[in-house]
Amino acid sequence: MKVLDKKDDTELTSDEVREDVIQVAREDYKMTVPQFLKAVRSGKLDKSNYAVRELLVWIETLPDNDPVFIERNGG
Amino acid sequence: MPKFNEIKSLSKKVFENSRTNPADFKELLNELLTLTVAADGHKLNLSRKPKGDLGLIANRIADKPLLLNNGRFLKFLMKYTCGKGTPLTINYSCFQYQCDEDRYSKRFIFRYDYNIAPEDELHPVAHLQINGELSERNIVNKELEDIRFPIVRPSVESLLLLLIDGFGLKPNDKTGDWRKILDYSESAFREYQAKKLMYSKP
Repeated sequence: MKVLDKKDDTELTSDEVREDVIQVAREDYKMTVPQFLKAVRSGKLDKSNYAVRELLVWIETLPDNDPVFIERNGG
Repeated sequence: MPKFNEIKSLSKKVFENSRTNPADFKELLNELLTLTVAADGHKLNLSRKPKGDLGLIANRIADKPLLLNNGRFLKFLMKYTCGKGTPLTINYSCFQYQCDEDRYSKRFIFRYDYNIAPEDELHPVAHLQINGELSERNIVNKELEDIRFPIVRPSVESLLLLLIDGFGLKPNDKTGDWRKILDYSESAFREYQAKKLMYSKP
């Protein structure tokens, strides 16, 4: 899903941001993005930790209906 | 290498416009970095929320931080909001100078943070952390790096000046124009901030 037209190489598409946040959630927290958000909401992950905050800030730039927010069961 | 007049007109476009285009702001920051301390070809990215009023100017989170011309790294993240009829406003930023390319480096040298809505009262809205040791003993029972010194939010230009004047990085621009360009850009930014405050609703 390409949401933004890339104006130049330094402008990221939602596809690129999505790939990045999925990768960071997996590498740093061994979680999917929905699992990461759930862990933040439940207090399991501390929002005042700057690494957690940084990932949240990146996730915020994705569209509200982005497929990354849909938790997939099974696999 | 960007020239003074080019950056001046870009800076005017960014700070004298009633509605700043985030892409222009990102371009200005990249010009300033290219002129001063960024390694050749290394730039910041812009990510905008589609149909939203927020975005980031940053190095990509899954990538290395921005490589500098001395082989060290700068982690750079700015979150802005820019709605209809409201000026571009930075409400979260982080600048971290570090020795290695780790995403969350333990080998950072200093770090500036700004968060208009801090998560807890232990974090001043804008603060500085320094990774070092106090020369005096028995002053505090925690590491120096864990102390957050409250500060006024620094401009990007003052950060670049600190890297050059304080930490000895060599500016990429050999004409000597870089300092007056940073001065000009910082003044334009301060005026923009003052104007924004003047017109903001109480």
